[in-house]
Amino acid sequence: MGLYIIRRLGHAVVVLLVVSVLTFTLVNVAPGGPAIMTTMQTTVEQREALRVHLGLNRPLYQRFGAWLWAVVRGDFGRSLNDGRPVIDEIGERLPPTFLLGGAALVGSIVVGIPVGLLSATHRYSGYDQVVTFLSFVGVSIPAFWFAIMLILLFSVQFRWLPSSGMATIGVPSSLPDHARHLLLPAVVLATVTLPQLVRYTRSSMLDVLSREYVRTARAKGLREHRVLYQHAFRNALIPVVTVLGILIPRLVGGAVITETIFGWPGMGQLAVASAVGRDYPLVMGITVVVAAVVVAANLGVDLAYGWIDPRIHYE
Amino acid sequence: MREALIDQALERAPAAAARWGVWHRLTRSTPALLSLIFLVAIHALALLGPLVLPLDPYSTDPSAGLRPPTAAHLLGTDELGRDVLARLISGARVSLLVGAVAMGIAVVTGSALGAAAGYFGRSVDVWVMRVTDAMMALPTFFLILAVLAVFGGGPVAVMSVIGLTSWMQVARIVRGDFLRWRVSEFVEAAHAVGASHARIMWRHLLPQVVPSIIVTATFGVAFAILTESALSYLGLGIQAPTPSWGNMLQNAQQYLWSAPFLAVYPGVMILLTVLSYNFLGDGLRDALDPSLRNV
Repeated sequence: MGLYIIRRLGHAVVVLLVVSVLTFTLVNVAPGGPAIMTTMQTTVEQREALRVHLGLNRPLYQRFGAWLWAVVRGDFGRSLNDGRPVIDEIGERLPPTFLLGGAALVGSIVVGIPVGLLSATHRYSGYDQVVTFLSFVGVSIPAFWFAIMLILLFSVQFRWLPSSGMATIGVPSSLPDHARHLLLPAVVLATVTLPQLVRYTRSSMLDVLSREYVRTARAKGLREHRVLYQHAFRNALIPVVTVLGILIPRLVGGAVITETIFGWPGMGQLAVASAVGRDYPLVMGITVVVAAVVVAANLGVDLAYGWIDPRIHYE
Repeated sequence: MREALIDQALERAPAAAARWGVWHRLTRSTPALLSLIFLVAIHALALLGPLVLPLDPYSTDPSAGLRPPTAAHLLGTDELGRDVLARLISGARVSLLVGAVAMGIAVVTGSALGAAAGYFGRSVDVWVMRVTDAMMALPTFFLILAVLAVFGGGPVAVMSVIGLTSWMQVARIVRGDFLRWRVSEFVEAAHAVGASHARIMWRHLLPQVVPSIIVTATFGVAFAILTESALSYLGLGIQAPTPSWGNMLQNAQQYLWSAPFLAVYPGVMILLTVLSYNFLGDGLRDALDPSLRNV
């Protein structure tokens, strides 16, 4: 197990290194990269001075080395837009994204697993068909459009919920106020995770229900309730953990759209702003930090999987 | 010659019968049949566009902006007085094309990598799968944003970047099947008659995987259309004045209060198209390869 963790950590480091190389190369060799500054209307001497100042006169691999060494120490450079350290900007934006993503994920688990289980135990019933249809709609609905429709309904039409931000401006910060602001974005973001979780739970439960040990449990006269919840349910949940590993990157991707529409001051909103404004140090910092968060989450899921399922042996 | 005969004996005869079975099983499912009809209709409309509706999606008339539906403009006009229906059809062209080409890129990339990994095994397999796992663990949407920030939007960039970040599922499926069939008797027989690696992969192994690829690709088109619309909505995908369903929505958001219908149409088109591709994929999975059910 110890060896497995070390190998898995090594794997995570390799993934992050690949991401760093990709992002750095992309930004530095692309048309419109940092070199564009050296073609502004300037004298030859000025341009040369700028190139030396920015370190652009050194070969690419040296620049990458210097950048990577700085990144390891937490220095992502400064934003081209407002000159603030990139790491500070990212640090401010991470907590709101964790809050939003966490709310969506927890909500999806609390709702999705029971719904999926009932769907499996009542296979082909009217309920199952409605759930299956809705989960298809959930997978297919464009998140930004769903968000706009929710805003039209709940903010414009009924005026029940705020359409943007994390808190009402000019009002003392309070939990109910935050919760009201969180509700719509969390519901929109949950469309990324909830339908997948329902479908996966359903098929996992169906798979378990066809196993011999379930038949044995029924054959020895256990009550159906006990068969379902003591024998089948627990085993059905194990593979559901793995789907979280797939859902976390998608959740982060979904946050980009959700945060932009609802004016939620998180990483996703910052990512769009930096991409539109071509703020390269910020783009690079965000990509690396988000990749690190996702890789860490996946590592957690993998280790949790081994802990939950005693049948797994790490070589 | 000998090889050709073996090929025929192995593949041709059951294939024709199987195809009818697939069609029958697919059209028996109501959602799959309805989806197929809708998709045929929307593709035909996108292809024939100007023949069906002889209105220019680019011609503006500022004096007749944001009008509700009339006989001249069946779905009304947008803020510049452009015909909404004409723009929806023109947008269908862009969105469907981007979806199909992006998935084409993903299928070719994923099949090539998966085939190499599954067929050659050993270190090729280890490295290809390591890259595949790494790509699957990445928040690809952020990578896409970074790429488009650098290269700018436009159809070619959008198609390429979506395709090159969504080949992983195909690679895993192709690799799995190649791994499984590589040790089968018909491959051994092909080796025995002196077929090359390329021929074995192309003629003997690839046909085994085609059904699974078709299923994955169908779901993939849905995902690609959804991604393109999200990118265009954010202003990083297809750029105005070229209409795509995504950037029409971005536009419409400014007029939510004065003309909410502008925001409804493109979203409904995306939803119906993506939903149809997903239902079709599900139907195809049941029809082509029942063993994949509940995966």
